[in-house]
Amino acid sequence: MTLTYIQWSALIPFLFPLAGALVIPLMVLTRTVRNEKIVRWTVWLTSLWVLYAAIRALMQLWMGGHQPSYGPLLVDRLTQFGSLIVLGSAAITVLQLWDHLHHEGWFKGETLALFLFSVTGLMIFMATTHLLVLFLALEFFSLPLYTLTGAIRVRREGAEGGLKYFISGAVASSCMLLGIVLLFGLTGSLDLMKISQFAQQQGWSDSLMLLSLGLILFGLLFKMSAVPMHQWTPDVYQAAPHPISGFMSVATKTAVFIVFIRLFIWGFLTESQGLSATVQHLLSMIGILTLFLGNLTALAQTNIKRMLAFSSIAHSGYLLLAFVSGTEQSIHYIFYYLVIYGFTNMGLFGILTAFGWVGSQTDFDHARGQGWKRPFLGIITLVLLLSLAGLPPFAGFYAKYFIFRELISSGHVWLAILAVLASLVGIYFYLRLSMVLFMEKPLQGFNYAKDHHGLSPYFWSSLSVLICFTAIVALSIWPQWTLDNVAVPTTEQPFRLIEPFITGN
Amino acid sequence: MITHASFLQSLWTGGLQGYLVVGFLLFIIGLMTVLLRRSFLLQFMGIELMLNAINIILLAFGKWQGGIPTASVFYLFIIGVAACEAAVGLALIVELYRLKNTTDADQHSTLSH
Repeated sequence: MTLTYIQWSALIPFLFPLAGALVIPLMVLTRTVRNEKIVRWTVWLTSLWVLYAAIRALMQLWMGGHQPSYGPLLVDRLTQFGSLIVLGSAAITVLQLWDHLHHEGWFKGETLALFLFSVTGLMIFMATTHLLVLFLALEFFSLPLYTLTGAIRVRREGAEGGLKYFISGAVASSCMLLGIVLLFGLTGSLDLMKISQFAQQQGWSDSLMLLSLGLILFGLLFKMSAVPMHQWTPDVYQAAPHPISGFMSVATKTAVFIVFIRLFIWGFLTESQGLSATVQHLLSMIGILTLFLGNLTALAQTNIKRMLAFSSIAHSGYLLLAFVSGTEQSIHYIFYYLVIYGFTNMGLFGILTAFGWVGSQTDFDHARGQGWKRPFLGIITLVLLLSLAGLPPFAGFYAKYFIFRELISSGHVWLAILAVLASLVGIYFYLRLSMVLFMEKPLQGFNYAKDHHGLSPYFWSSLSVLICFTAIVALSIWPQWTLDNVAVPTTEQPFRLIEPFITGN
Repeated sequence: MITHASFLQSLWTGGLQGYLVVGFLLFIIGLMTVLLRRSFLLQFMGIELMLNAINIILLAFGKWQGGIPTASVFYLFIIGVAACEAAVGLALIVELYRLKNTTDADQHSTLSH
């Protein structure tokens, strides 16, 4: 079978991480202690290189405006945007993993191999237009993440978090699979285009069809940790290695939102206005609940990773609210939000590694007074936290502002007011962590990082944090540039599946 | 609209509804097993039951639509995914059992603040 040039260009971005994931387990076969350091460097550099190569391939497609497809894989602008976020956050994660795995004394090649499998799965998940491939990709990225949560086997919580994630995640993906199968039974096809056409002709009147739609929505909402299905998030983020938690909070969430846009906004919810109004209503309720529960529960946390987990739940709420206004611009703002949220959260989870907080030493007490010990990291943490809280000079403010403005202009004033109130609550716990870092004295009897002042001794994680910080500063200075050059082109499709249900204001 | 009598008739003669009823019942039994049982192994078996229930529904739909091959292929993929889940799930359960010598879900509650 020979592939044309266009088909190759669609496949290449997926092949790089996959090849890396397949080759790395072979690299770590050696048992000689003498070689161990070389093997570690080789494995680590290989995974960085495959990610870089995939990013380059995608950047070429993006710059040239090419949107190729191969079989059920559609590498359009939406896929390219999502894959670039996933690959970028994966590269940052790999940088941080070098330090984190050495802290834990558990540097295994399998970790990076599983991680690259997960990256490939996420990219296929976003690209596919076939529901069978969608389910397979969902499992393809989930199964490695279950194991990665328990990757560091010397930590007792690891396996517990992994199994909790496994059981709840498997139930959610089974429900989503049931939805897909019902949809297949009713429409006779698994192709997204054909299902959408069927829905356009028949409407979503059948109760079994509504059930199938609801089950698919349930699976997606679980993965984006919206409120009734959010319980796994704090436990899993706390149990997982810090960089992997960051990756889950950024890459998985981005991928699920992209798939949500592709399936629901551009696919299923066509002209049948009644249903799209119902879905909007549902999303507004879930969004507001997610926002309030995320922000209010984060107030009570004493563990930094749990706090960040609840903050990421709250950010899902903001993103869900953006769907409620239902305009073309609001989709642009979602992309914009995802970029900023991605950099901020990758930076914040990287800071845990850069400060040298190993394993479960991520309580607020471990952070006391550490801002003065490492002033650079402290200031970067402060900026990232303020950006996540959405305070004016920083990028996070613009992201929230755009979404709220769109809510108000589409007539959902009360939702906007509630969302602003919830984000005001959020400012408190972001500031509390900054207070702990700078204004509280270290406690007696705690094992703080060694006493040399100044820069962090952990080069790669500090570098990754610096990259995120630079990106956030740049985004704060030129918010409009990102919106015009990244968010808006993402919706330029070669063909929409059908005309979108949202009508531009 | 399906009447009561014709519904029973189709159950008896092996129509689509019969398969769907069995499939949904198995799915709900599996879901309840995951939600109510407190042993990781039984919860895990519940997940497998859910996947197999979906297989029954899928194959019934495939047969009902005139034996299109998509359903059979999809079914094989689901079996494969179930095997992968078994590998990962059992590995995690064994890992936890080594740590605490129990597979009771209530004993594993380190991760609540």
